[in-house]
Amino acid sequence: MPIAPINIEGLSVTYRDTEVLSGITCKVSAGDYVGIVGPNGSGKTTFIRAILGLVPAAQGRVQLFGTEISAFTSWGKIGYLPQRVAHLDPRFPANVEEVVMAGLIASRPYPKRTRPGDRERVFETLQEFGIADLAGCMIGRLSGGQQQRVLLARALVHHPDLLLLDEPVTALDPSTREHFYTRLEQVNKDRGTTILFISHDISVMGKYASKFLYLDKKIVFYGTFDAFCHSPEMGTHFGAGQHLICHRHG
Amino acid sequence: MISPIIDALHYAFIQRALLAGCFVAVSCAFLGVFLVLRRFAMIGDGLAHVSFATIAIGLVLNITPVFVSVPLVVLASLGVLKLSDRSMLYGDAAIGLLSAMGVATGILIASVGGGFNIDLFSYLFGNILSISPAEVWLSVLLSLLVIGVVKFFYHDLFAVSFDEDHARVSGIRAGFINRVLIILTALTVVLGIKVVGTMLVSSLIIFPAVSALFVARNFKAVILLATLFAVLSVIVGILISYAFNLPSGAAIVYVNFVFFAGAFFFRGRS
Repeated sequence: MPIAPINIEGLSVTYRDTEVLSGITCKVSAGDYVGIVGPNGSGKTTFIRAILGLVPAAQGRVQLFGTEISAFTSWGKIGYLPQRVAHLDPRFPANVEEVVMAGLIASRPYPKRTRPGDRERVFETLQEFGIADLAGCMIGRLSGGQQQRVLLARALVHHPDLLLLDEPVTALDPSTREHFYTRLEQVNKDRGTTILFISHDISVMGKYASKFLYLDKKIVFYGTFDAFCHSPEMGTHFGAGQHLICHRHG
Repeated sequence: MISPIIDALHYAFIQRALLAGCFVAVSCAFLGVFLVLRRFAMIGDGLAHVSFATIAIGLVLNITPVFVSVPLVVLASLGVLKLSDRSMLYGDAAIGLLSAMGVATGILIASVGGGFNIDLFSYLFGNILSISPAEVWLSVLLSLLVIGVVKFFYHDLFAVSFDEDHARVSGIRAGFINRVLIILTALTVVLGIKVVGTMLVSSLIIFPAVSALFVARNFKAVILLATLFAVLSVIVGILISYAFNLPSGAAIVYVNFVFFAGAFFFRGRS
């Protein structure tokens, strides 16, 4: 049986004595494409950050690829797009190629050096997101949508096995957004990359994701869309919302 | 005008000043780029004020100040990092506290100890023209260490400066990298004091980096340009100070300011 990329048991996270996440238990299997939705302040970003060990767990445990997060070292398997694209320092003196190259080299053993073929790999990834012509541009001078595509390229350039994306499409225009979803679907199907994807766009989640995790400080629902749509319990919880989500699905 | 400067280059104390100054400038420029980008630009100032206290301790105990300064300033730098890391204090507030305590301790020791106030004064404003051969060697060794460490950890330093969270989930030990950066800064500040003094050493860290940030178009260019500005400012500053009988530390800072102004206007026009 393949090792689950993510295994969480009884995870609770507190922030200044307030419980932000409570008793989260779930497993994400290899090749899953999990859409994470929930209202504002429901702990979605904290959930992703706790999985990555960026915020400490008050209780419970997180395992990545069968290893406790505190002992996890195979970071080359992870791709991450943080939510804070809007907080990117506009004066940071790096060009697009340098930023994406950093994603390729970061998890290599010391001494970390670029290798033959690295530049081609970076350019291929930039091309996939339609920003190869921006390779020499300073990242701070790009539009929000262009910056988001650069950081997506950084998250994907090293072909991770597990991709965690925190609201990756907020700054993208509709056509780029559609292209991005298609690209992500390819990555999931062709390479078997496991994806966790936070979004407010529930209808899109229904179209692309294989599983659906509804979070509101604790897990309200976690399973397939079919299970969600046929769950009387979710019908009670969401009311007409359940029909809306399931109607748009597919 | 040119002739006295060429003559000056024959003096051993000028050669030592130029050599040590250039090497310290390289260290300051390399580290300054990362410190400025990490919003830690003022740490140089804070650590310099701690050095003031440690120099006073050295003088009162009749120990060569650098031997007291190096361990104590390194400890202080790690203390600041810990305070700001654990969100106990804002980073700039931690540096402010450190600066005040450093100066207060130095003044108290000077007042109680007495008899060495003139020596202490020379550390306040630096006196690169009195630099000893041993200090030249220390400067060269330190610079080589800084260059080597920055080259070895270049990709980590870049990643941590750009996005610390992302660096952590890429497997980079951001805490370790921060400690390396801060320890090297502490060592550089202690040696930089001889060049421009405790009052002005932070200018060697901040000015070249900020000037380079105005004009460079990629990260490596920032480091190279900052190094160029820093070295040129030290060379021109020392020669001006010799030619016009001006304090060398102040002259170096003013040359740095000229580069900064030039870079600022270049950015405005580009």
